[in-house]
Amino acid sequence: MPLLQDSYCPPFQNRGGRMEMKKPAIEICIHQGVEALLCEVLAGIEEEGVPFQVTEIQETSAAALARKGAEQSLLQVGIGIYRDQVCVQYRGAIAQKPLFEYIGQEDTFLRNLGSNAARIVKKKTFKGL
Amino acid sequence: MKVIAGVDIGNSTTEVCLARLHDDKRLEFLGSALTVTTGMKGTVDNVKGVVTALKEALEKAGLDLTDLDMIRLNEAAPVIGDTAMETITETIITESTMIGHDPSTPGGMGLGIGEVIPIKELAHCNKKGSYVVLVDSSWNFEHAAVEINKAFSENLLITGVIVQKDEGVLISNRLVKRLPVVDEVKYIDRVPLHCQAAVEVADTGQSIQVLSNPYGIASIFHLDAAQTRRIAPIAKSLVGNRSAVVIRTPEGEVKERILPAGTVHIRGEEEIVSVAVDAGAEVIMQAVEGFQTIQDIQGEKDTNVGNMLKQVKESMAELTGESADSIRIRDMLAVDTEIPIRVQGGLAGEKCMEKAVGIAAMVQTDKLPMQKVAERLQKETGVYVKIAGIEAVMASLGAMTTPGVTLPLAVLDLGGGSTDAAILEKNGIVRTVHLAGAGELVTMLINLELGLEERFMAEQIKRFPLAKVESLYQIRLENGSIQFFDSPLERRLFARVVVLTDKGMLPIEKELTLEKIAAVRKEAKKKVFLQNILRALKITAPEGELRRIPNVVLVGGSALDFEIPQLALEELLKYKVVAGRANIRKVEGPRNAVATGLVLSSLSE
Repeated sequence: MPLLQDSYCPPFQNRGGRMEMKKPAIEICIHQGVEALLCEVLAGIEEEGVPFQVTEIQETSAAALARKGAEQSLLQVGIGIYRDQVCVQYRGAIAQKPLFEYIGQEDTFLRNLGSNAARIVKKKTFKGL
Repeated sequence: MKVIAGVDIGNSTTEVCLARLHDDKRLEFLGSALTVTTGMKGTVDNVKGVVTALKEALEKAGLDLTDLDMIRLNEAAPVIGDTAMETITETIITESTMIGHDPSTPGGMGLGIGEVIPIKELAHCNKKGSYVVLVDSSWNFEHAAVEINKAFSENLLITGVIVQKDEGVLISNRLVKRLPVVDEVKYIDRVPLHCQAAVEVADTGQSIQVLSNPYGIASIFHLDAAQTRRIAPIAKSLVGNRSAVVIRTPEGEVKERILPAGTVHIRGEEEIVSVAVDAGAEVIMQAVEGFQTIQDIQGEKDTNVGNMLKQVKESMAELTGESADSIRIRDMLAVDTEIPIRVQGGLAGEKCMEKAVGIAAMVQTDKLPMQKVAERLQKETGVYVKIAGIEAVMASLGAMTTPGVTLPLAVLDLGGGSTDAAILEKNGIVRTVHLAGAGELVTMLINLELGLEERFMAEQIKRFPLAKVESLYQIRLENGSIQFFDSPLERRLFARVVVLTDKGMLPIEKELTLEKIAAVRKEAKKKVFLQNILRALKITAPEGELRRIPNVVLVGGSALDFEIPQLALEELLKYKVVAGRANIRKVEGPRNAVATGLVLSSLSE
């Protein structure tokens, strides 16, 4: 699959019927996701101090959700949570497999995944590799 | 017409130079070859490598062993070098602070002073006074925030928080008041309870102002002048940090101890000078350079330096079959350095830069075991082998084939264990000197100063340039240019400084900037090689005058280094001396000097 061009992504989003300016944030797209997983990921991002936004989107794989998130995110980073799977995607590397994937490892892995998604934005070295 | 081969057996490589000596005394060079030296230099094990190299050179010229008429072998004066390091300061903290702890994501902002209590005691503590709360890893960040907020609502004055896990921001975001929160304190159980503590966190991009000021600490803890003087090292170590914690304990303080690092005894023709290693490199080198000739150097028993000096003699004894007592150390190089050492009593596993002295020593012997090698080589090849000349002299002859040189010529062999110099004068006189301190010492300094604890990594950093991985697709090289990649780089390389080795990008695991690593690398090369080049030239130059040597050529493994010859050129041009990597026979670069010289020397026979 060829690398997606950096297609024009309008800086507006539709929030409950109103158009508002998109803020730079990591876009987390979630569908039927487990609440506990989301909390750990968000804790990792929050500790790094990077803004995030959570949206419900109808997709049936964490990878597809993450890809959507990366396409929408002004910071070019997306996280997808589908049921108990989590993926991190970066817009510049969408054609390849996800940068980070959670498939049932321990909690610290999930916290690190959140931190690392933020670190892509901050250009800092990744944790727990 | 004879076919001659010059063979130079070095410590790491064996080099061959092949030529045809015509009847009219014309030398026609036929090529060269290079292979790894087999066995220790000067032993019959070397023969295997020699034969490999000979066969390769002959094959390239369309010849074989039966065409070879003479092998001229180097008269190797074995030189063995070794290195050691002595730390001369030691910082011990007894429970009072976390020097060097600078977590990447502290929470909140401000300065908080109070009595240290663990979070579980919050519910039961009395209302008077102010408190600094300890949150260990058994507490979930949300519960911890709830507990602290509850204490606020009961009018308890909490002024700061110390957290074990990396959750400074998470806790701080959930507090009703803005407080300084320092996190990632690994050994939180060692923080002394019920003592007075000060916690400071600066705004993003800023550094702390109060705890990095000795008078600031004095103000907080009501210290007198003598106590302030004692805690000044704490303040110094916190300069530039974004956050800090300082705890006042009854006996707590920071001690900077001078470690007894032993003495070295330098014996000359007429006197013995003893120098304490902890006096530092400058004092040691002044003592060393005060001698016309050094007869021997000994170190104090059971010190790192003493043991190394003993060991280097034993290695030579093993090689030559002499007794260790009769081996003499002729030279030593001392270099000041600073190395990060884990602080004793540290609460977060932090490190402190301690002063240290790196030392290289060198032994050489006049005994020449090459005769045995020559005999075995002759037996195995059926070719007449002659031990033809002293390495240093042969190196000079070979070096003269570098375009652009004239006499007097200095040849500096920058090796791994020693730096060797030979000056060839117009009247044919050759003066030589062997000095301690070379490639191995540079690697050791890089390894220690960056706290790598891994010789292989230090070696790679020495040999290859660096780059910073800026994104998944690009790296920025040392000179500022950018290199792009078609597919994304591995995750473990992201945001790291990498070494661009010949086998791919090697990430450096330490959190060090590219500029810092490059600076340490260059400094190590200067401290060792520039110092030794100047030392060698001053010893061998006519009347000790550097300016009397118009040309210096660099040969040997370290002459192949990507920046050492340039560093040498910059320094020596100050003396109007031209210096650079040799270019033997216009094609070999710094290699093959001795082998070429061996062939050239056949002309005078």
